[in-house]
Amino acid sequence: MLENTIEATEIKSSGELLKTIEGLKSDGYRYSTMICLKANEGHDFIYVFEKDNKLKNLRYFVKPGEKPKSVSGIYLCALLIENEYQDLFGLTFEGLAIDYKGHLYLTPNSPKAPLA
Amino acid sequence: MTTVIPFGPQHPVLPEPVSLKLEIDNDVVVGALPSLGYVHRGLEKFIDTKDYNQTTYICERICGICSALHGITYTKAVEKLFDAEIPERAEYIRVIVGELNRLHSHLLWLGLFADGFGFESLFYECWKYREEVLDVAERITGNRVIHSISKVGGVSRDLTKENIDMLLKMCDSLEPKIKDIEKVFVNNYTVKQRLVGLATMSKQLAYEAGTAGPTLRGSGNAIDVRETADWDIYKDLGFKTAVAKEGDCYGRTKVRIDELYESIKLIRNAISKLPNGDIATPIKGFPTGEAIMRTEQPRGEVVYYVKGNGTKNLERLKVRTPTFANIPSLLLMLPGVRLADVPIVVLTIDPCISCTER
Amino acid sequence: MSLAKSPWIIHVNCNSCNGCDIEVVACLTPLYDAERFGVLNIGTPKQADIMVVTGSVNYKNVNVIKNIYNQIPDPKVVLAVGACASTGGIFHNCYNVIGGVDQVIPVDAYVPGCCPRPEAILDGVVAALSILENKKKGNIKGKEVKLKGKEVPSNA
Ligand code: SF4
Repeated sequence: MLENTIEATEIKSSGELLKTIEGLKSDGYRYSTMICLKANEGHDFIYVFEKDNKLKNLRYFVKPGEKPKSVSGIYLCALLIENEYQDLFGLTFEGLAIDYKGHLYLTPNSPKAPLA
Repeated sequence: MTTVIPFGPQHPVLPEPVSLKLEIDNDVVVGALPSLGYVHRGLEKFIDTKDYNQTTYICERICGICSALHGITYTKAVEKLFDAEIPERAEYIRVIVGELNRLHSHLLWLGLFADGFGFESLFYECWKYREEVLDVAERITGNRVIHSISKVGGVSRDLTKENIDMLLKMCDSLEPKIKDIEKVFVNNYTVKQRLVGLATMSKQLAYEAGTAGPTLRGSGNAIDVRETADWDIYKDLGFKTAVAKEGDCYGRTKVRIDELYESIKLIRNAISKLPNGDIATPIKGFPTGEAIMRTEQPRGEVVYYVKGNGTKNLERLKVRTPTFANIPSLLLMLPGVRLADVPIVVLTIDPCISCTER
Repeated sequence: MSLAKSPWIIHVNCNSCNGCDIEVVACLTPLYDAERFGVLNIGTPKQADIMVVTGSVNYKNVNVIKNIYNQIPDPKVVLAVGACASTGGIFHNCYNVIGGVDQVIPVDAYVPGCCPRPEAILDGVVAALSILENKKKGNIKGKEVKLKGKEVPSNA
């Protein structure tokens, strides 16, 4: 196991994830960013929220083949970062507010899903 | 009926490939869709082939305007992985170079902004003053734009007595000049006609839209990472957050002008408290673990996430840059704005496209 | 009148980190004052003589740079400013970068450096002026650039 990992609350299911994020929004947290990592075939998401300069992190594991739910319905600003991961990791998010279909950065000619 | 007008990527006012698809109804914007990718290089993958020291130079070239603060943030994030104790003097030098960076970036923006609303003499005025900052930066770091001062473990160059004199002289000569341009930006009738009431964002909206930096503070939110976050040196230097209540383009301009004074104050205070000692500690081994580091760049808060796995290459580097956070706010600000005002509104978030796309 | 006494330039930002761009703009401001050579920065390619390119070419902007080049009337000169525009520079190995500008359009003069000093850029512009004059004398026309091979996006 790694030492000095960042503190993050583990989230099990996508329903729970959306509920927690809605709760955070009504608590006055701002969406900071989301980090996507490759882990055990699937992907690890770390959602980073911020309030009064304190960070709150949620960790959620996306199983291989799973289509993660978009949080852009709750925080609109999430749409760019989720579109970015569609490009770079070849993921598909469900329910994106604006869907670039994997062509936010990349053209059909560029390498596909370069970070995956 | 609405028409879709492509805006950019090659636009006479904006030097950068900003590209928007604007939905226009009779001269008024009703919708905007950013289109990105003209500057996408793929730096987050590129670090696979470079070791963690070399990555500093790549991070500095994420953006050439805020490059010093990119480098500083990255090195501080990696130092967190090593739990390294950094000499005080190095931290102070970082602050000084970081604030120089902010000074030149804000003066640059003020100039481009003045050019955006057709005030060419003001543009030249701002850029002339900016050269003073660059002269000092070049003397200290060796390059005008890409400063490369920070390395993992400290800084790569010390401040000499001569540098400090130059810095103080620059602060003294710059302050009255900023007062001059402030008068124009804040009081001039023509400028106010263009800016006041344009693209207003309420305090609540700016907060919820996740904006950062002067875009956020121009709407009355006193949030600045320099005040509280992981880098506590700013507290000793008497930092105060600049805010404006207006929430429009005028407010965002005022915030940036106030930050110029703040930066000068910080440089002066840092020089007066500058401790003696080493400028770097040797770092051994390879990074493991993960860390998040945030600092305030000229354009807003930057979030670095680094993950090391005990080899010389980092496993993952993720950068959330300020413009990345500010672009969604364009979707909210642009509707209702006239087409002729679009370049100004786009400029007020101080877009840095090469940051956004990396 | 000689064309080289008042060349108009168009500045194209391709894939650059902005470091070179702000130095190009700094050339036009009072301290370095490129206007003393009659240089004027102009927004539209149709009126430009010298194309100043910063940054490398990637898969998305390859079309933009080609279109701008083709629209510039003859005689035209391309000046590549910075390591990125010359060879790809520090980014030459990135997955989305095709390489230097000369992979797509013919380049007449290079200004190396990351980022080059404004003096160097001015030198490059002055070097471009004599090339421009020669092209005019010899009536050398730029070829229309067409994209070929794999850099053409299929939806272009
Ligand atoms: S040559 Fe250097 S300064 Fe210029 S665009 Fe490339 S990385 Fe930036």
